Amino acid sequence: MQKNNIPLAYRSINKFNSTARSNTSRVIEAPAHPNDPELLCTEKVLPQNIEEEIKDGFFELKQKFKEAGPSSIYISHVVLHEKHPILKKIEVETLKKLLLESSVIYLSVGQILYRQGVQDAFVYIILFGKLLLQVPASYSKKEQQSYIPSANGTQDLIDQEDLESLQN
Amino acid sequence: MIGKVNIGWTLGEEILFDRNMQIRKEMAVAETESCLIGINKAQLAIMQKGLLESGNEKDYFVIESILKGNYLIKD
Repeated sequence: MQKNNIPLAYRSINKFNSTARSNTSRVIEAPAHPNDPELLCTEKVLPQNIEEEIKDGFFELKQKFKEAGPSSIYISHVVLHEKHPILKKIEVETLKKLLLESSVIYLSVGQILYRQGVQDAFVYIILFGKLLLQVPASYSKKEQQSYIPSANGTQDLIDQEDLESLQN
Repeated sequence: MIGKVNIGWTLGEEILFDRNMQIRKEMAVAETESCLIGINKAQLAIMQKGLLESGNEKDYFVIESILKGNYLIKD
């Protein structure tokens, strides 16, 4: 998804089939209804220092007259709205609302955001940093799980071995 | 490794568009110090509904197209 170390923002534009295709755009071919819009994606090169500029909008707040004590991080919505390739596209008021409804997650190198196989109802937007998407080697065939829709419309999680035994 | 994501990308948006992907199919681990915002999909739906009700269709479609676009690219 990411080539080299250049930060990229991805802009997706829905255009109808009759629209002329840009030579610089990659067209995602997916089976769809003929009247469905087609997805065109362009890669936009961001300034090299974009992450540093976004980090400039993070402030640590401490109590003024006590040396020890809890501190908190304030994230400037103004900086995010000016610099962030996704968040700059929405109104400031919408961004404020989004920040209020969201949790802020800081990860150190090697920390895991979520593991394979867990149920996680969150959608994440990266403010800065890089994450790897991995299928761990330990997640072997034995541990691979399949999803079988059950009669009531929910999905049951079963082991691959169980699935094979069911099929046999 | 199946991919690398950085600023400009979203993670976990597949739960909004594919009922067969409510359980994570991969692990996401920080390669560098990182910061993200995470919003519960129910809260996001309420927020998007509020955008439509308040007449802010533009932001509704911006959020929807970014999330759907990222989902389709990764798909």
